Amino acid sequence: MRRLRVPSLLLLAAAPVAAAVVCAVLAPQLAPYNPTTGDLAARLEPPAWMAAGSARHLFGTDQLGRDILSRIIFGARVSLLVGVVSAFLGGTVGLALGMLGGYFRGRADSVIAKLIDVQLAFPFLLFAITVIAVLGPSLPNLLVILALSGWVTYARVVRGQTLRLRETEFIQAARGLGCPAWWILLRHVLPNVVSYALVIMTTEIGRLIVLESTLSFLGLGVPPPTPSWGMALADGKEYLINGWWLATFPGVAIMLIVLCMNVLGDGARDLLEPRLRGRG
Amino acid sequence: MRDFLLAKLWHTVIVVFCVLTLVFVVLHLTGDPVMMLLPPNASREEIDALSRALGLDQPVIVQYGRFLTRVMRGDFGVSLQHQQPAMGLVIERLPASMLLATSALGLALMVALPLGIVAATRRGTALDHLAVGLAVLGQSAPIFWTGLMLMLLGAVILKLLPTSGYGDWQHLVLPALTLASYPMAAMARLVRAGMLEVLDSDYVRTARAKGLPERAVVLKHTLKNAAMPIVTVVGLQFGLLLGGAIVCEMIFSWPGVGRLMIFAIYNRDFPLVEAAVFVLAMVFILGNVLVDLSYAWLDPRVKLQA
Repeated sequence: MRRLRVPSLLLLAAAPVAAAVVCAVLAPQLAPYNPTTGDLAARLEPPAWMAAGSARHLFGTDQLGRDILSRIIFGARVSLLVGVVSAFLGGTVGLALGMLGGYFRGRADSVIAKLIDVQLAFPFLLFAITVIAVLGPSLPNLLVILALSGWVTYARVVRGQTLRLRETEFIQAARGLGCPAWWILLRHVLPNVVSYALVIMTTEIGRLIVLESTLSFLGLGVPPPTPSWGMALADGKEYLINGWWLATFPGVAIMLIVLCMNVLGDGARDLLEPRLRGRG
Repeated sequence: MRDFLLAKLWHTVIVVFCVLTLVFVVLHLTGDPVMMLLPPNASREEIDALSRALGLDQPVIVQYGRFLTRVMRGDFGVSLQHQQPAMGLVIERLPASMLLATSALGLALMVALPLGIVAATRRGTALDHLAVGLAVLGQSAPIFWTGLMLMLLGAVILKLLPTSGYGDWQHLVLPALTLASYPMAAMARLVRAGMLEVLDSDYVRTARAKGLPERAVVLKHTLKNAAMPIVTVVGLQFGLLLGGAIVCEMIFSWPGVGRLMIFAIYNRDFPLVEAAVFVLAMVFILGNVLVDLSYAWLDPRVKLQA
């Protein structure tokens, strides 16, 4: 029974993520309107199912008459791009440093461990806000900052696994045969730790999407007019009384994607670590 | 214990040093502060005079040394916008931020503990699924969205609470509830996981076998032993609470350090940003040290090692 339930839940969670990916890739084809062009005659129009709503705008319009649905569809581009690219960047750095620290130990390892400690001892949102305030909000800055926020998790887990692996017989045999360290790391260690990094990446994408939208909400994310879910929410805050739909739908989009990414992450962890199933 | 405290102190000094270096680098990345302080049509002589007065004509390493000594005295300079000492402004706002963060943490614990316990003791039932579902949902919602939705419900639709402001307890309810939502979910999941781990152990089975009532088994034997990971997560959540507090203060116009800092960023008031970052980082570091110390109190088997 359990075997049947887990994949169906994973499939259920994968569907909205797949839909968001399709939206992000085919946004110009799927969106009914241009997300940055407003129609002042149709400003603050409620969703289609409400009395004053119209079928032209399914989720209504914002304060400048821009179609909310189109902005959500285009907003998926920024959120997914930022989530996936920065999770990948952070993952690559964390994987490399974790493997190097765990395999070579010694001074390199203690420097990496200290870096991890320092980063964990400092609230990251503060760091992100400070650096973006100085460098200015832009997509590349955001990608780098968010990647920096995540490498620690990968590095800790991968370092631990590499420490364990370097004592195993097959690695010692490779070393005994005279294989160079880079060969052992790429050929023997990497395939054994990459699955851990992939599991972390699944949940990291969700966390990074939330972090991006938080920074956008504070006006420190991707600059306008590029539509992003966080910025749509920030706009909606001012119109909570006479335009509740402005903040509601982008928020639902973020929550749904993050929820599904978390479920997928849990599922991936269960597959890797069956002992932990149902405990989290 | 002494070795542990010394090691912790050393670690804290390193982190504080890193935070201060970051603040200094930020100051120098912002460009020439003299140009920000003087009007755009200032003469060369005026620029040189102010540079000398602020010590900006010295080599960077000298400036860094002076900066560190100045900061040790708590002197972050004068806020460009408020024309008052930056540190004084931050300290003035700290009680409001602490009130929000501690209320949220207390609220999170008050809900998460019973929720986690009920979910663990009734594992596999509808109640368990509901608790886990709520926790997962709580962890997936961005805090600012939760805040806006609570504002929509509590203030706009039900008209029970004020949308924003600071003063009496009614003003605290929505911000504290918002800020509590994320750690509440994380803690509930952890309490459940910790309880499940301990409920399977031999001494719990023994406690049951000798006829102890279930309430005593759960509250006296299981919960205390499941508390370690909860304390760890409370420590980890402290950073999230501080970050969340910044967002929460912005949504509910709560006059705390986070809101002061964001407005200082908007106005490019860097002395104030630096003072706020420094104080928030210090609060966070202190919180982590307290969590580490509480391990030994909770579980006497834990020897605090350097």
